[in-house]
Formats: sequence, C-alpha cells, structure tokens
Amino acid sequence: MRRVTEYILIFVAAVLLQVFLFDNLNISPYLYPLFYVIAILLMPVDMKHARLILAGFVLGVAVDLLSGGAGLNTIAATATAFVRPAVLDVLVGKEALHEVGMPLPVGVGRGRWLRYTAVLVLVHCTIYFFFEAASFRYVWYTLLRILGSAVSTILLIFFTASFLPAGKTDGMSVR
Amino acid sequence: MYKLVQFFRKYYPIFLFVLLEVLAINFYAGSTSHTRATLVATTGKVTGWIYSVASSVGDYFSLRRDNKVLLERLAAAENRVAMLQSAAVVDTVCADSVQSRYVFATARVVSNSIVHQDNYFIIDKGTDDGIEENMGVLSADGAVVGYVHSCSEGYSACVSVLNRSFSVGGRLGGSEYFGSVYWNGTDPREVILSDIPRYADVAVGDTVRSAYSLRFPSGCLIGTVSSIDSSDDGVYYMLRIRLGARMNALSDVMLVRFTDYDELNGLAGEHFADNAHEGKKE
Repeated sequence: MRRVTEYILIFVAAVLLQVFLFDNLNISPYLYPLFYVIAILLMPVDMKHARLILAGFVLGVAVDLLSGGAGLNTIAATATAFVRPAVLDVLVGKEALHEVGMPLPVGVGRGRWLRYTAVLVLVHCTIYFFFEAASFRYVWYTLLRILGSAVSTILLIFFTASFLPAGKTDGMSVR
Repeated sequence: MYKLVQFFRKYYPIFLFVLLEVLAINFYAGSTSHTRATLVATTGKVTGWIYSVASSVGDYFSLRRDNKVLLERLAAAENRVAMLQSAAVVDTVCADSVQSRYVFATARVVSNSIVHQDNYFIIDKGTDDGIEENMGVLSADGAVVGYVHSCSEGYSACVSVLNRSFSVGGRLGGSEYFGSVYWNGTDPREVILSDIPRYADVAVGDTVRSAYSLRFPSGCLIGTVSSIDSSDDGVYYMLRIRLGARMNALSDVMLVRFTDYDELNGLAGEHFADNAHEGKKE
C-alpha cells in the first residue's frame, strides 16, 4: 500500500512541477524541460507492460489538460512508457534489476541509470518536438530543440533522482 | 481459438499502445488553434488564480521598468491631447467625426509561454471586465503582442504573436508597401514580414507597423527589420522583423477593441491579413 501511495505522490508532484514550474520558466524554446517524464522513469521495474502504458497515457493526459497541450504530451508519454521495458532490459540489464523496485541511480548504478534516462528522454523529446513542429521544414531547428531540451531534462531528472530516498537492498521505501 | 486468445494475451500491450496512440494522435491532428485556445481558457479558470498569486510576486521585480514605460506613454498621450485641443478650436466641425472607433482597456498577464510553436498567454480579465474575443493586445509600450481568443468571466486566453496561427497586416515605415506578418515557429524574438515586392526600398532597421488590420489600430509598432531575404520563388522579400514587444517579459498589457469589428469581419473578414493563418496547421 505504501508503495502505491509513493508512486501516486511522485506522479502528482511530477505533473504539478511541470505545469506550474517548468512550463513557466520560458528560458528559450531550445531549453524546454519535459520534466514529468521522471514519473515514467521511476515506475516500478516489475510493473506490467500494459499498466505502464496506461500510466504513461494518464500522465500525458494530465499534463495536456493542465497546460493546454492538445494531445502532444499524451502522444509522447504513451510511446515512452511503451519502450521503457525494452530500454530497461537492454541498458540496465536483468541482473542489476532484481530486488530494485524503483529504478534509481543508487540502485542500478549511476552510469547505467544515466544511459537509461538519456535514451528514454531523447525518445520522448524527439516524438514531442517532431509532432509539435508537424513538418520537416525547419528540421535543424527542431533537432536543436530536441537536443537542448533533452539535455536540460536529463540534468534536472538526474539531479532530482539523486535526492530521492532510495532503498537498494533493504527495500525500505520501495516495498 | 485457444491460439488466438494466447496471441492476444501475449501481445495485448502492443494493441493497447496502438489504440491509445491512435486516440491521442487523432485528437491532436483534429485540434485547431481554436481547440487549443479553448482548452487553455478552460484550464485557465483552474490554474488562473494560482498564476495570479505567483505573478503578483514577480511583478515587483519589473515595477521600475514598467513605471518608466507608462510615464513615457502618459507624456506622449498628454502631448497628443494638447495638440488635438488646439486643433479642435480651429476645426469644431470635425469634432463629431473624430470620435474614436477604438476602446482601450488594461490587464495583467498571469501566464505566458514562448517555448512552444503555438503559444498562448492568459490575462487576468474576462467578460466581467468587458473583455471580448478578438480584442487586440498591445504591450505597455504599445507594440503588438497578440489578440484575445476566448474569455471566461475572470480570465481570457490570448493567441500570442508567437503562434503559427497568428497573423497581422504590416506596413514598412516610410513607404506604402505592406504585407502579412506571421511567426514561423523558430526564433521567439523575430517574426516574418512577407509579400513585400522586390522593388520596394528596404533597409535593416526600418520600422514595421500594423496596417489594414481588423484588430489593431493602424500604426501600432510590430518591430524593426533585422534581416532581408527573398522568398522561395524570388518574387517577394522575406523580411525578418525583430519584435518590438519583449515577449518573454510581458506583465502589463493594453487591450484594444475595434468597435466595428463584427460588422467589418462579417462583411469582408477573409480579405484581412488577420485571418490569413486562422485555423491553418502546417
């Protein structure tokens, strides 16, 4: 039960931070952090694929509704949730995953975790910005937006995840 | 039959994924600038008050600059009044016909964005304060920043200049050449002025002002020419215009209503540059 509450809290916090903080930073179109992806990244490792996809969908809808995104966030978040298990398997590896409930840097190792985050955030940003541009007319501009936004998102998520309380083997906060 | 069931059991996440994506893409593809602005206006009711609290704190940091701008505007307005008063003495016959067709109001921006390709901002006034759809929005120093798209009682969602469906007629300073001003979704400091013929005299630094617009009075500053290019077919100039308004630092705005908007829009709305990009999606 504790575990469910914890994930709902992460979910809500991610959406609120995105809508009320990161959407209003307005630094530059090249640096638009899609921070809420953290909720997909931190979903439990053993979560059923279908549930994960549904969670991604709900996450996207929540952000879309609150920020007037008209479906963009839903498209990207559902796709990111869909590819997560595969990315987790390939980049983190099965042996590092058992006994880890929530994939956190301390649980799976910083290097691995960073690679896992980078790939998923890149997938998310690529889908988001290409769908937003809806044309290949200014493709270099779109690529630059993907790169800048992905890097800022990865840094923010890495920073945040490093501060989250983690239970590696004792499972205090994940079970 | 059993095999079919097993097949579904094995692959149903994929079917679920495809179904949800089709739903989302379908909704996104079917959305126009109208859908999005309505969405922004609806959620604006919920999020609006949170934003107004946040922005009332932020406002203190821009007070000094805003104050200066307002004083300058006031001085210019006083000058104009003085000038008109002296003219009216001589020419009382015209007094009736100079009655303004524009009604002004002020509001405060509570939420703004420049990072998307179709940006909107929310202001803290709505139908209760006499705000109507299609009012033009100007920055405190009088530069074009957008127009009101939809209103609730207390808030209004406005289409920003930095929205690919925004467009306004623009005239080159010092000449009679005019074209259509729009944003191509790239640089948030610049918009494009197209349809200026190649034989026009253009120089970097020329001002561009609104013209033949349904929403804005003629002569509102849009920006200054920052670079000169030719269009793809080489017949026209493609001018990059540095915006006069600081879009990433909007706080107080002026709203202007053209009192004959509905009449003129109903009669010949499609001939105005304001409606050129309406609802269009690349």
